[in-house]
This record gives sequence, C-alpha cells and structure tokens, in this order.
Amino acid sequence: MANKQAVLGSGARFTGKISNAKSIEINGYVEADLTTEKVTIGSTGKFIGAVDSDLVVIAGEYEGKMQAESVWLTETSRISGEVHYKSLQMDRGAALNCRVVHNWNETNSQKVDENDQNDDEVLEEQTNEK
Amino acid sequence: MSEITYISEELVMEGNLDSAGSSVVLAGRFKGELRAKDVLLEANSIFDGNLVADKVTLGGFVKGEVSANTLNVASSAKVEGNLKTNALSIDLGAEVSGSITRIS
Repeated sequence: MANKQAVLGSGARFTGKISNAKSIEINGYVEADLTTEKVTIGSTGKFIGAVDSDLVVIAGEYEGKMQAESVWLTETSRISGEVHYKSLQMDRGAALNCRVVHNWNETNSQKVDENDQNDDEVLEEQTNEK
Repeated sequence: MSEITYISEELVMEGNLDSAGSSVVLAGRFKGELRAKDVLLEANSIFDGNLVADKVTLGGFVKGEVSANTLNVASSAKVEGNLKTNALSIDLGAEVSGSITRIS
C-alpha cells in the first residue's frame, strides 16, 4: 500500500489545504494550493489554486498560478491564470487564456549579456592560438 | 476513470471533501468535513472532524463525529467521539470511547 498514488475521484469536490503530497491525480473538483512533485489533472478534473510542482500534466481545467519545471498541456486542457515553466509541451487544441512565462536562472541571463561583450576577447584568444 | 478517491499515506488534507456518489479511502490524514457514499479509514490513518456516509469502516485513529447507516469499527481503530449509526459492528480490540446513538 505504501506507494499507492493519491487520487481525487471524478465525483469528488474538495476545498481546503493539501500538504505533503508527492504525486496526486485530480479527476474531480479541487480548490486548494498544492506543492508536490507530480500532479495530473485528468480530463474530468478542475483545479483552482496555486501549483508548485516538478511535473504538471493537464488534460482538464486549471485556473491559478502555476510554477513547474515541466508542463504538459494536452489537447483537452483549458488554462487560465499564469504558467511559469522551464519546459513546456502543448498539444494542438489546448486552450490557453493565460500569461506564460519561461523562467530561466538570473545567472544564466547575465551570462548571455557577458557573452555578447566577451565575443571580441574570445576572437582574440582564438587568433592568438593560431 | 476511477471514481474512487484515495488519500495516500503521506498526504495531509484539511478542508471539505464532498464525494457523495463515490468511495473515499483514507490512508493519510484528513481534518474537516468528509461526505461520501462509502468510506474506509485504513489502519494508521488519522481522521479529525465530521464524517457522513452510507457505509463506513473505521480502522485508524478517529476523533469527532461519524454518522453512517452501516458502521464497522475494525480491531485496529481508536475512536474518540460520537458514533451515529443504524447497524453497528465493533471488532474485538477496537478502542472506542464516546457515545453511540441511532440515526433515526
């Protein structure tokens, strides 16, 4: 029983707090804030609230602010609110009515700027090597 | 698609769960209002609040009020509170303290 996945059935409605979740599947209606490793919102599911997760798969409805490493929005998904992601897959038919933000590390964005400036130096180094 | 709601061992839920037409199995923790058709509270689960269902099996730690047409208290259960039921069975070893009344 230890590793059985948490499921909210399609007829169920939950409002409140969910904590300590590892992996959860939502086929019903949920109004909550959720921090987890993996969350699946099934085609009959509706989730309202903030989500912070490594992996998010949505086939149903989502409303809120989502922060995720990896997001998969299937063809039946309907999203409103805000999606912050590192990697995003969207199937044809997915309905998004939201802000989509790709967040990379600030250190990475600074590196990009530095690279622009350092181009000349790199060239110099290369010519020196020759 | 599964109709059943399963609250896994590590999960902690607090609030209002209404699953009138289907079953709920609790292995983790739940605090608040729970309404369902069938409810199974597994051994080591923790429930605190108000439970209303047609058929209930209590196996874990229960505090609060339980109202069920058919109620079974398993031997692993520790119950502190009020039980309302029309058909009751309590297994040998179950710890029950509180009141037991009929619904109707």
